[in-house]
Amino acid sequence: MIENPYVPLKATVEQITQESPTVKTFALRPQEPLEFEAGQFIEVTVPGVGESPFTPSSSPYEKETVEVSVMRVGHNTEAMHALKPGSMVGVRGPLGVPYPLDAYAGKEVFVVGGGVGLAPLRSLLLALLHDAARYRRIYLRYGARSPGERIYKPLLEAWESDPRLDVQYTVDIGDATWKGNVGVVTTILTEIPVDFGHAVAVCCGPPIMLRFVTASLLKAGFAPEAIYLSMERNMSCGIGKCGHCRIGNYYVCKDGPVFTYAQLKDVPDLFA
Amino acid sequence: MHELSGSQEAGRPQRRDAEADMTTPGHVASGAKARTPAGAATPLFVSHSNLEKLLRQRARESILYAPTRYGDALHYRRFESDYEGIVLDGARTVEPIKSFFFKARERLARYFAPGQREEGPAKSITIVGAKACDLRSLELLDRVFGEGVFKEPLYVASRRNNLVISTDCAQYADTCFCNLMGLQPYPRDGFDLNLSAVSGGYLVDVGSSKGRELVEGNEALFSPPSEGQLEERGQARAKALAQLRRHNEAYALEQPFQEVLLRGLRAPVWEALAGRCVGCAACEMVCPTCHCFLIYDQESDGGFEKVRVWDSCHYPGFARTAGGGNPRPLLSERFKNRFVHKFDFSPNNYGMYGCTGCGRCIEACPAGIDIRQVFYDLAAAQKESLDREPIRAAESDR
Repeated sequence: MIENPYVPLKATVEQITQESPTVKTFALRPQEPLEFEAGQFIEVTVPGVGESPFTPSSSPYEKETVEVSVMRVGHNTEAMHALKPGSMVGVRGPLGVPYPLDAYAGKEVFVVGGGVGLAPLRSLLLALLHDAARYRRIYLRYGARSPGERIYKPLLEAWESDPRLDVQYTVDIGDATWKGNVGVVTTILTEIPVDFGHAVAVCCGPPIMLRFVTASLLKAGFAPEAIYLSMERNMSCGIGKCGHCRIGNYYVCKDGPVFTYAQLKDVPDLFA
Repeated sequence: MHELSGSQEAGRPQRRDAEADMTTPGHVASGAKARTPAGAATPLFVSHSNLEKLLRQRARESILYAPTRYGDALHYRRFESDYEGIVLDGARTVEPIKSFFFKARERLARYFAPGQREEGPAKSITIVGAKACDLRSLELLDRVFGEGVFKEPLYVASRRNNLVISTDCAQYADTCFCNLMGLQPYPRDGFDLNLSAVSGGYLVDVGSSKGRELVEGNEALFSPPSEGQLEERGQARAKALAQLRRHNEAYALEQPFQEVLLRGLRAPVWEALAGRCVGCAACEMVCPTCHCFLIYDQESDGGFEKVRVWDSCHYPGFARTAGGGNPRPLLSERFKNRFVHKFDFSPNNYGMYGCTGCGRCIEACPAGIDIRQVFYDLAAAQKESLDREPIRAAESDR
């Protein structure tokens, strides 16, 4: 008998953190531990309402709970934002392919995030920092629309003084509290201090940001094979059957969500 | 219909090659290995009255569906008695065979219900009168739902539980073009049993262990065929294929479908090709290989359930993502997507085209869009642009 891949596992909402006006992070405790690798995603069901894909933002070494950061943008995420600690949701996963950390070993890892796209990168960075000595250098470049829309603010602050990390932050539009760089994320990509022969770039963010960041990274000297993109499409079934997330010759849900730019560069409307 | 130009006439032998080419990339080793070639064993003979006995028995042990005529068209209907109405020698039915295995609406999972009810296995189904194109579509769906890291228990169980008895096509419908898709109007594999009409009854080919069991359990109904009957089938098949080739002659392409598509992927002609499309999705609903679906959640029996319904990539929201982004906001892009999935993604991922040449989409389209014509026009547009502006055309290629 084949196991039914559509049956979700029960999970309790343990903690809810308001990250920004539109983003909440939910710590979920599944009935059985759900082990994932950074970059893989899960489908979260609000019972009777709907199901959406999220890449966990928590460390894959954290086995008991899994965290997802959810931007309120539609029907199901609206329902998620109405959840309270103790609410019951469903989870399916892990699904898809993770970041190939073994391939990053010994290299400089240049991480670029935009907006809520920092979520999977947080999981990646926590995994990288778990074995920081395994990588030659770890960088983070993060841009958000405004200071208020930055997520994981306490963590971002802690990372600024973490000697294992080289970080630079920016916002599109500053305010009175903001002392850092102002400008879109590509404005902090003009100088990339890596040895391109031994470096990889990892990006996640909205399509428009991915388009320009990819162009900047290519121009700077990263090979298409060394640029890893977390792609978003409408991953519904999550197991390569329902057809919604096709991108070129791939299904994002089973062949991704992590792809190299080399895999995708011929896809028309890649960053739509 | 298009008039044949002299150059195409001259290109006819190549066209045969192209046909062979179309099947090779379409059919990679795994498929060829898994299937039992029907020609390998000598067929058996079953008389009309003995076939009726066999069907009567299947109707007792399972739910029997067979084609019958309503007006001008053939539809599947349940038969419990009165086998007179069964039409085995027509062309394909209006409904795609997928409906039996991948239902238009079905529950995928129950969850969080207080007492999970175990559902007994559904009653087995016997489908009589499936055609070569239907079998090819099942072969594709088997790869989609029955292979990969995750398999679909519902689909796999229903395939295992059911029996498919196919028949040769003695006639073709106006919209039939299986020959252009590398098929013949008679099944060669993928069936449990296949029936070919000959004088006095049918030749029976066994294509699976399920089929073999059925035959062995009813040995008395079958007898060896005569030389004459074998020859009769050979002639009928050759004739059916020749007729269908002639019928679709004008649409035959010089290049394989995938190549024509890829060369024209970025061509402006798609706007015109999609011109009359209204995005109604009729083509996807009747397509035997279209298998995209939408999942929704709802309450059920004190718990919840996930239900799926057939979906269509022609709908504007099909690929829309959470933030409102849409990779294919224009109808012409969605129209093209159907072709990309069937003629590029499908051969690359499943080793076969997502089109069987059944022509149901042509029949269903309220705008009269003909998939054969779309490819013909796409190929013609490439030729034109190559003749006119070879450099630009090369750039617009992939």
